Amino acid sequence: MVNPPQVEARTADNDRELALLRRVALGDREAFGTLYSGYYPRLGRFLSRLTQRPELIDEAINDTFWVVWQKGGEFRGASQVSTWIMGIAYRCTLKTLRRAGGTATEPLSEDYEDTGTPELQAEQELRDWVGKGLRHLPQEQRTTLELAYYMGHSCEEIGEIMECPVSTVKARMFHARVKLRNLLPTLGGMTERGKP
Amino acid sequence: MNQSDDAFSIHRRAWELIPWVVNGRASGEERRTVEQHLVDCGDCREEFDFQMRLHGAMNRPAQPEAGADAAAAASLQRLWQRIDEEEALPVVRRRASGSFARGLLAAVLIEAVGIAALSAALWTRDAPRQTVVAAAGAPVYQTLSAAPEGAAHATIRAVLAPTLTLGELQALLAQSHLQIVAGPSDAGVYSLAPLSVRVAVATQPALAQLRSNPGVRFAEPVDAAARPSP
Repeated sequence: MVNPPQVEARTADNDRELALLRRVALGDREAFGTLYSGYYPRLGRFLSRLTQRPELIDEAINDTFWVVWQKGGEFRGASQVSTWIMGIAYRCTLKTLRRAGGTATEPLSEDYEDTGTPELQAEQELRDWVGKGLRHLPQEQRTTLELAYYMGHSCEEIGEIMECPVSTVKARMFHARVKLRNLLPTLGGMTERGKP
Repeated sequence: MNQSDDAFSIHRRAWELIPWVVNGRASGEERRTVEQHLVDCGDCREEFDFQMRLHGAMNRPAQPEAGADAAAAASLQRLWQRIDEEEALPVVRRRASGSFARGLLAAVLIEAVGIAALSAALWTRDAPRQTVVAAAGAPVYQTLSAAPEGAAHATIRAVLAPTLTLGELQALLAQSHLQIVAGPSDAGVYSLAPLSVRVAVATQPALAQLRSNPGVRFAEPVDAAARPSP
């Protein structure tokens, strides 16, 4: 469970992103492109659990990075670069969803085509199933879990991103866990079945 | 607190910490608390296993989407187009876009009216004691466009937002290689000049940097012809 290399990797990532952001603040478009390309897939997958409409995901990513371009010079390094960017992304996404009148209630897109091998099919089935479980959670609880488990943020960072006290993050995590235990009671069995 | 209360409190704390151990963000002390508790608590072991499986399932790599890189490149292209269009707009109009900027403009106007009213009140109050023309014949009043004393080398005049912190102002000045040589005037105008005579600072780039900062409400070059000779 002890994982110092993970901590070192996070520090190295932050240093690299901070260097890019400093260049972005000076108007360096190449640095901006590198930062954008690094976040695009991660943000896309994170946001796809908040909305299934691809055009809204793209819009939210571009709104986020428009702010990064405009405000990069104001970042003082008080938090990790990723916490700062995710905070912007969270607010932009909520705004985009409100504007579009859409929430994360659209049906899950059935774009997991069979790819042939039983292993890949089992993987897809598991992802799909966990995804459906997550979608039954209220948006705040789902986002908390995504930020913790998919994006790897700490409790304090999630509070910063979602602009709420740490006690609220803990409460959301608590309720999300209790609900998922009821929604996905056989997660262990499913995992075992998924193994070749 | 008796032993059973103590055990329950440790159980509750360990249960709460499990997700942060699972995602690797718990501190060393927190991790040890959970690890020690898991040895004796079957419920928490089961919960820990469940969270580990959930974490694993949420992090399984998605199938690589065909053309994902191309989609990212196209999306970035659209963003550049938007940024270029924004930057092509005149500064005032650019800042005036959006409801926030409209609100800000309204606030500035209200503030300007307030300053004007205050100035008028002060002028009326001080009028009996003021000598409009000094004994030597030089006017004691100063217009907004006139360079304040000590601003002989000023190349830029700027009005700053009250929200701009001292740290942000220092960073902005350092970035633009500028220093404050006079101000703020009664109207809140600062006179800025290059940091050092040895460092030639082009006015236009420095102006562009100031204008791109939301903490700067107004930045204009000092008309060289109007600037008093040093």
